[in-house]
Amino acid sequence: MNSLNKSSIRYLLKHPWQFGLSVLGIAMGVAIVVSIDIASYSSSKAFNLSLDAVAGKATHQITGNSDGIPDSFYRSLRKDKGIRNIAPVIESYVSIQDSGRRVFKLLGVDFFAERPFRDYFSETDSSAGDVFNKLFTKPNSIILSGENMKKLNLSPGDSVKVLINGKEKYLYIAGFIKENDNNRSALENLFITDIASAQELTEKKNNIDYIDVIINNESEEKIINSLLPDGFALQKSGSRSQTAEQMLDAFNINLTSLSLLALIVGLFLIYNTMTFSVIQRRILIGTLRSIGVTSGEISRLILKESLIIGIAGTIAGFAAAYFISKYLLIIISRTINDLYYVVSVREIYISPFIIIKGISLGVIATLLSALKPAKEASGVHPRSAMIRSEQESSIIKKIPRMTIAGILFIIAGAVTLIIPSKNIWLSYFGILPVITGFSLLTPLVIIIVEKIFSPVYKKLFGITGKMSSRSILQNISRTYIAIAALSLAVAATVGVGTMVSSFRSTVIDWLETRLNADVFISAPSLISRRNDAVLNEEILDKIKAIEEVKDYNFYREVEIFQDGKRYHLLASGLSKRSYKGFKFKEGNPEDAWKSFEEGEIFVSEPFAYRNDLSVGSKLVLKTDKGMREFRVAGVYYDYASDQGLITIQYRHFKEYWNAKGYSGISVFVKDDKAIGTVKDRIQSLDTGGQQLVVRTYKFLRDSSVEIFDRTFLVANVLQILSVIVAFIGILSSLMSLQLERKRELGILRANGLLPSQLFLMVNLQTLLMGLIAGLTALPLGNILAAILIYIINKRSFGWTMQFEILPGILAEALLLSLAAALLAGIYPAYKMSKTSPANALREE
Amino acid sequence: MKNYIIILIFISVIAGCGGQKNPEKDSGINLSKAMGKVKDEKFEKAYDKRKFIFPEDHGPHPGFRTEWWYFTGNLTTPDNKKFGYQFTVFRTALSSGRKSGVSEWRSDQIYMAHFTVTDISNGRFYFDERFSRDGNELAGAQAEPLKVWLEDWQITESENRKAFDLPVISIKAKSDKTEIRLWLESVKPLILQGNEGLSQKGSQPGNASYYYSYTNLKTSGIIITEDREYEVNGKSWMDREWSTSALSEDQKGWDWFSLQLDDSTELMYYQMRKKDGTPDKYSSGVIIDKAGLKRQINREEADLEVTESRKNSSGIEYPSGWNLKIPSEKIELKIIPAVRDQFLDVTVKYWEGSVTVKGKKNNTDISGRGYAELTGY
Repeated sequence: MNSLNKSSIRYLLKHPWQFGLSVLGIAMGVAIVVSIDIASYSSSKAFNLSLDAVAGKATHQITGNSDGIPDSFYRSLRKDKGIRNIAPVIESYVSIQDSGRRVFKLLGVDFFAERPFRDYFSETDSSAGDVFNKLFTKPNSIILSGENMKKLNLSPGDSVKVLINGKEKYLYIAGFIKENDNNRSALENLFITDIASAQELTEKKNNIDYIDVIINNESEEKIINSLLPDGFALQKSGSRSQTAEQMLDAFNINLTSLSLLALIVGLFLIYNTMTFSVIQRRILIGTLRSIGVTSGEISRLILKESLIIGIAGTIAGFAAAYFISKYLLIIISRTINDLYYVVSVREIYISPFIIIKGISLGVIATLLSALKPAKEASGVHPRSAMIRSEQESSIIKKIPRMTIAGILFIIAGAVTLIIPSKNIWLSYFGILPVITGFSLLTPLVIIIVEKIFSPVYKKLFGITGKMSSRSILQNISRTYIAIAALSLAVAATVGVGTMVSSFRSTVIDWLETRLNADVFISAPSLISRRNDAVLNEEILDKIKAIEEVKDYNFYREVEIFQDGKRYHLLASGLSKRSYKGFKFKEGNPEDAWKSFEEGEIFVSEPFAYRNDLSVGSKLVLKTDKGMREFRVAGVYYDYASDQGLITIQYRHFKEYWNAKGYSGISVFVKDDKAIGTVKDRIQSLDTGGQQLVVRTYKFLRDSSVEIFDRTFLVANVLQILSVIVAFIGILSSLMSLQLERKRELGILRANGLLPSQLFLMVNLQTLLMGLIAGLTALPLGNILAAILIYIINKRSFGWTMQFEILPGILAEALLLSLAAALLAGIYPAYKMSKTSPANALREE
Repeated sequence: MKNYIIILIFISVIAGCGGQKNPEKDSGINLSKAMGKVKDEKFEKAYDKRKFIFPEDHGPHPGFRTEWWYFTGNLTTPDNKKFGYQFTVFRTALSSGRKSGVSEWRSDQIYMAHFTVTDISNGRFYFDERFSRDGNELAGAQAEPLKVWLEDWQITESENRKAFDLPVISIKAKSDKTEIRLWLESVKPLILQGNEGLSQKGSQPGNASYYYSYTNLKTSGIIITEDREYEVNGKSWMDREWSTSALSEDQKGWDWFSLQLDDSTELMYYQMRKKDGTPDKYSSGVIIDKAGLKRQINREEADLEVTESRKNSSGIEYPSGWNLKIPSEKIELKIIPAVRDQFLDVTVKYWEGSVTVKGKKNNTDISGRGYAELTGY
């Protein structure tokens, strides 16, 4: 090893704090990005695996009407048309009541048709004949993987109580399937039963959900297509997972972006560290240069150091990501279950892309951010290296230029952001110049704030105060980076916090207008935001008959798969008194309602945004009677689904769709009657085994807000992690800053400054830095919030939100930056005050 | 007596649905063990002789565990190309109880069908199998009008006209490379096999089946192989049997022959083989004369000798030539497969194929065609 490398390693070892904190900063940044990636990848992988497991070798699926496919259609394909390689499927979810409410997919199949489709059925245990016999002859028999059977503490012959579509049923364990490498992931979440049992359990009378098909060539596809009645479709197997992925697109992009924010803070930190390491070694570097080390060697040295830091940070980051992702996975899959679809994730999956992305972020980004410091180091002139003031004065000279550059950056960002586009990445990309611009404005702010605070500090703390504020300016080349990093981190929390709060209060306002009935009834649903279970039509009759009920609403929600998209159609049986619950973004309410009653549709704001619709647009929908065109009568505000909703009047819905039952019912209680009484009456109705979820207005409102909060839990977690990274950054730079002033402070001590005065001075200085950071963070944070609300959210989901500047969040942010700065200053202050002047003055 | 093993092994392997089975292991499934699963005593059994009533008895008997509609035939084109076919629909009940549940798919009756075509002139053999439940009417059987089907493989009553209690039947079946569309009309009355239709399989009471046959059905129609269509004419044989019986522990399998001789007589003979290779005493046969009158042949009257054996593509050795002597009838026949390898490599594997017959009857030369079934090898 040559002596240059040795000097480098000695330097790193002599500054373990600085080195350790840089590694930690990178590690945190990498960990956040990678763990978010892992968590979202794992959840979509788990979902796709569960779909693959169900699709088996099917290339296509025949989907039917809103109530499925009649048994007779499947029969005619096989019996009359002689079509082979088709298999009927009924799919449902069951939750096990007494075991932590685990959810399984119940797959109902015809074992005789299965052979070409799902071959893992071949591996049952040795008593295959008996198992098969039971599946056929004993209703509600299932088979499951041996592992699941063990986990659920069951054995063949046992019964297990489950909830299917809100009804309690007992499933009988006929046997189990031995796992092997091919079927393990497929079986992870599966109960398999005979199609007859599935039909009885799900009460899909004479209907199946879809037909799996294996199609080998175009002529086969043509034949099948020619046999399909109106409203039926032949779709590629993958299209279901594709629509699921599309649903999560915006959600995932926003998660990733939030994680990138953490990385940007991390990169600032690296830049910061490397710059410091160069500045600190100016004299050393100058000496090296003067004894003949070339500028190229110097710059390589710095890059090598940053590479070591980058690699160490990346490795540590991956290790941390493994643990963080497990926690994030719980939160994210919970959110997916709340909002999108049922998924159960039990394994962590990592793709090569995640690894490559993590490594490039950790290592390459570190190197990139070290480029400028490396260039600076190589540019050190042997002679001028000895003159510190030159550097500071050069920065001061640069301030006007930096300020102009900063303003230009902000303008560039603003321009990027106003480019009309639905591209979320472009929008995030536009944030970068804004952030950079603000960082470039920091030196100017420092000068201004120092001008204002210098007299105040002097007045309050005398010469100590004055010295502490002056030294920020004196060391501006270093202080501004630390302040900008802290400011950015705090601004990020202000931005995300303001956005979430604004969103939250928008949603609460909307909930309060929309939920204008007294009691809400639905079947237990596995997805919180949607009612996927259906109530019998008789239940409404029984509820209507309750004496205290003044009026009622009901609705039926159906999913329409069409052209590779998934639409949610809400058929509303609304009473007139609920009309006021709709607030229109477009369309005159009076006209809109009139047209609605005549069969036109409303679309929610996100739906209109996604599909470029406005009042008067035509939308073609796949109905059970074939494709039909509907005119949009109004666009209404709705925050229930980021996928968007189509609303049609129930009466008109029934003209085109066969779907029976209701997804939800709400009732108004007579003014002089108690809501509680009605709730009790509904709960004690004889519903034929159908479980009802009966919620009062208040309860439903609160639980909706709870779901909202759960959704943004991940944002909060990321926010906290970013603050931690920022804190590490500020700690690292302040410590370096103060430790670097060892000599200066030593001289002060030698000149009679008391340790306590020194302690105060250092702390006053960091506090002021915190204040500057906090003050710059407030406008930046609100600008970020505005970008998130008006641009990112709008483009991701199409939602309009009220922007609120929240004094609470602002105060918190200020406090946060002050506290971070103060905390970061205490250790160096303490250390400096304890150092004897003689030691501090001794040259290395 | 046919297809016992098939139906029983079918029940035990069906659950494995599509699992790759070792053929040796398959043919080695212990019969008595497979049948030992028949514990449901609620099934009806063939204890006593019964009065056969038609058309009802052409339909299913769900109270019994197993049942089949069995057709084989030898056909010829106008330019003398020769074909054989087999089309069999098996029914088996998984339980004797009535089905419970409301689903159309709810079912405890399982159907299996085998369809083979032997293109004798080209030396090729095609086979296919299907399974289904009777739920959702995907498979089933009914007496009037007669219909037995497994999806689009169907035996239907094609005309209202009946001959000897049997309507004119149409058989339609299609697989990848071959297809049949045949019309069958009986030219002889049905014969009741065994003791007036009660065919004893073992010494225990109830270990028997109800069994009748139409031994000569005039057949015409179309056979398609490899996209070539042939007009064909010839004779078919129909067997109907239902039971809830079990094989004795020492029985291993059988060689079964249905032969249609040129003098318009037919001969059926089966020889049960014991595990030690010797013929079982429950082996028996029947001779039907021109007028349709039958004479029972018992084990002692017949001598079946294997003259040739041959390993098939799965490595199982099957007989491929026999001498059948029935001295009391002055019959001496040499039986050889029309095509060597007519092995059904399906879920339940066995050999069943067209055979040609040459020999002497009453000291005059006689020839004929028929079908042989070989199980338990």
